[in-house]
Amino acid sequence: MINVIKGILYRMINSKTYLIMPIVITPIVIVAAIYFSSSFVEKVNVGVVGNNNVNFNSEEFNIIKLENKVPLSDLVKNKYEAVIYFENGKAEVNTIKGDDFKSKLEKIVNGENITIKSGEKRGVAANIVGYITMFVILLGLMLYRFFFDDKKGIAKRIISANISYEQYVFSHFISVFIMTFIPTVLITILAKEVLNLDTRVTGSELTFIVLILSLLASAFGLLISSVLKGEENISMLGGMINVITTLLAGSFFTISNNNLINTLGSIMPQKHILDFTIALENGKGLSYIDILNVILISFIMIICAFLINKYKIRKYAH
Amino acid sequence: MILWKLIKQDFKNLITTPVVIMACVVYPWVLVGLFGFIFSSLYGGEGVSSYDYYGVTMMIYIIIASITITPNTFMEKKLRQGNIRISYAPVSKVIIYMSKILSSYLFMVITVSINMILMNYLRIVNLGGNNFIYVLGLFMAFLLFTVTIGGAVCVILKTEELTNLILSNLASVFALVSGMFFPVDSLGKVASNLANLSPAKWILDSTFRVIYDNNFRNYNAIVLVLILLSMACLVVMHFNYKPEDYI
Repeated sequence: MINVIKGILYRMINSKTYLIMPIVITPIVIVAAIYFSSSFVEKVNVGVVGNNNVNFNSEEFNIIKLENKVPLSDLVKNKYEAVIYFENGKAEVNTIKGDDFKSKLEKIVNGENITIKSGEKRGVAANIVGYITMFVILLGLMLYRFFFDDKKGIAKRIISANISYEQYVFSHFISVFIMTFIPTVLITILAKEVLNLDTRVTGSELTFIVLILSLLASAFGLLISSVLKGEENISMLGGMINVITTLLAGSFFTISNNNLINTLGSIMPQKHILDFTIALENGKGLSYIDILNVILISFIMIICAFLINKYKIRKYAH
Repeated sequence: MILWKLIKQDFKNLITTPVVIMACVVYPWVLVGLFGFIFSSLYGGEGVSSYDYYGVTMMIYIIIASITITPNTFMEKKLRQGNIRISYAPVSKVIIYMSKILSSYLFMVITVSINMILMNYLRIVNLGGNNFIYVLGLFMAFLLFTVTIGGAVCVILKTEELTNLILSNLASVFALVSGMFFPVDSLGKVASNLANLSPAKWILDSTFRVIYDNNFRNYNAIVLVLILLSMACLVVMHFNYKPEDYI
């Protein structure tokens, strides 16, 4: 089995195309995460027409003085989250955002002191983990392509040696796990140490989180690769599921205050990993049950994948 | 005549590939529905719903992602045998690659327009009302560009894996940077300036201007540039395409 793992790893390293993912994409994502964690992104762009000496008691605003009202398309593009103009001395708020946001803004314009953004603030580490989730899972999916190459004949040769099919599938799983985990963790830790990020999450904690993430990614990849046939199907459907679940989990940004969506999101294992990181960073509400859930889900995926493979093999043999 | 036969065959190959059908027929609706639903509580003022925003951006995203359709017709393993036979036949190489480009374009035009017409007709997405035809025209020009550049890249790189990897990653990066998944203009000055370098962002902005302000500034220029770039891609293909590379 170890020899098979060695062989698969050798093939993975030799196919350089896949290496683009961890070596190019992950650093870009980390840089983006650091940028988006910086303070000025948090601010809301608000245009003010006319009246030159408006002052709001809010730190969250980035006020832009305007001569005229802006066209609607500028609001749709979110160039301005809102435009405030004065009519007969009364302030009017123009925005395409929901009523909740509008009423809050109106209150602020009238001098009240409330905050717009709610929820826990995410630090750099949480942003990094949230942003790389999607790419790590994608990498886990992509790496199973040797599994498919093998179905064309190499698999037969290997299985006719003294290794069971389960062991063979498992060695694919191990290799993918190693190849997602090691580059990602190296780059993440390197970024943390070199850039000296301002976060409470230590290197070993980050390693642990990436480990769980890689476990999830390789389990998900194994399940998808067992269910579907053909490489294109996998990158397509797996990619779709990946994007949808990661977005629902709110890995990139907190998405909504809608109950149904929140419930859907909290089913996703990505959400639990993120919650764990946020708890670590804020130093409160830490629960290992989150992580246990993710490990449990990963194992269920792996077991399902094994059962499916077994069923397929049996069908193939008859 | 030969061209027409080849186009028919390539077209048939495309519509019998489940992945392609999935990507062009099911995926747009899933994306628009999902994003619209998730962000529905964030939008709503001035009659602009989240479906209106994400309907436009997701259709552009589908068009960007269709950059991988043409390479598929060239290099899909299933099609390779047939392609070899055609390249041995006494057919000019122009006809071979043109049939692939045209069939991909035809296929994408049909699926994208049907999706957009349905979205507009059912009033799920505001695609411009009276200006709908201009929005459609802009998207078709953009589609021509993505289809031809997909062909040009695959002719230059010549291997399926590398082309797919580079193109699909490039497409995702462009879509992400240009604000297809979230409004990039609200992410600070640096992100906004970076996004304004991306051509996909210009198309998105122009689309919003046409839909909401009835403002056609830069519209003609963008369409013209897209068509010229497509021509350039065709020229690149003409000089780099060698049927024997795909054997």
